[in-house]
Amino acid sequence: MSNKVECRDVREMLERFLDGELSPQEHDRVRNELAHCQECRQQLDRLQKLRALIREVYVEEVRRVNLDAVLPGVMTRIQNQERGWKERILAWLERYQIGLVSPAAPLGVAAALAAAVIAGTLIYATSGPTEGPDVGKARVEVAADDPAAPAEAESGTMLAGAQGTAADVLVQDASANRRSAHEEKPFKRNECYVTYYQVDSGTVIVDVDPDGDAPAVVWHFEGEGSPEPGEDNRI
Amino acid sequence: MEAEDKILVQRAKEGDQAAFKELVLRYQRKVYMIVYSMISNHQEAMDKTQEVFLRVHRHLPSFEGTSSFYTWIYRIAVNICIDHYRRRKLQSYEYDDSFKHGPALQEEVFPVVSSASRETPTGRLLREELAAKIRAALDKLPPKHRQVLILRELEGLSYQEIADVVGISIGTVMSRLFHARKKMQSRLSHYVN
Repeated sequence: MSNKVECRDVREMLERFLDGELSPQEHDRVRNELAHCQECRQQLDRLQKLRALIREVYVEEVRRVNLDAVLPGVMTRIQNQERGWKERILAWLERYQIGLVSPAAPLGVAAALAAAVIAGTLIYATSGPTEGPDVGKARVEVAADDPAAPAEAESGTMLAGAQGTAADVLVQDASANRRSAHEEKPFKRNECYVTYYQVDSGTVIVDVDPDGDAPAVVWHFEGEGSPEPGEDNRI
Repeated sequence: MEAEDKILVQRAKEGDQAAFKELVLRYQRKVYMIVYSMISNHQEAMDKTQEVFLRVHRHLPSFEGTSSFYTWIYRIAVNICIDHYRRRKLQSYEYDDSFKHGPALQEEVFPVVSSASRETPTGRLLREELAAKIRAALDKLPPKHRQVLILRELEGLSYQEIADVVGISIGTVMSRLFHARKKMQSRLSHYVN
């Protein structure tokens, strides 16, 4: 026979009963109370309905989602990470067909490093003579506290340019001059995102992800050949 | 399942790409469900799902198998969602309401396998309306309450497993579950009473 004390105690156990987290003795106690107490049965019924509703919505929704893109996406991103920064930056430029339309005067090293401190990471800047309307040279400075970077960041390495840019890429280790809040929090991830690209000054600022999650991405793209805001900016 | 996971994990650790791919295929829907239920946006959930497997790939060599693989992968998923919340809070990121509360299954924004065609238009409308209400109720929960509720109700994890995944005590799991359910019952009283 149900009584108020037993009813109150059992109510407190109903969730664990539903979740299968009771001892055999507690389980029997709840079952016994449920056989006699309508209020306890109603509360259990509410909990069961809530579970059913949540499952119905999410399980059904997710069952119908096409996840075919997940595996290729993962494998591409793994492959990208293994390519190294300079190849990834060039591939990114190529993907969006960014031509260095009006390469400006070389960006000073001091300014470049200052920008690196602000952005926390990489700089891609035009430099050198202009060879045509879509041609420029590029300098990529790689923050060396990214463990993935130094292996790729051989000072003075010249690369063939990305299609449409014919850019020479000079990768330099900027670690010696690097000062930023990230110093105490070394980059551990091999992800980077373009956060700023300005055709006029020929500058692309790339944010290497310090936390393994997408950084605050700021789109300030100007000029011809810039990607649309909202496009995947991942390198 | 766990025994098969162990074999696949061992092979993947040894560099067997086919084994890693098999793990992705095996867990992608579960991971997506956790992530989607926590961040309520299909595109972001797809991106974060990929990120989970990137982290798995990156850290697999150091996975010692002291916990089960699925507990480990859920922990990664939950941590990525927590990072997402934090970053969104920092950015005061505004969610697009049409994504958050609208019919998420609009096929143009949410590509689906074609099962919807078997459903009547009225049935579909009702289901989508209910789904929107449940998503809205879940979205209003604090993230720490939402995550334990999802891990329990959708993934069926035990209290101990939830405690391991989230990094809290079993008592805290029970407390958060209690509050989460209470709030959900209150917000969905029309449907559960």
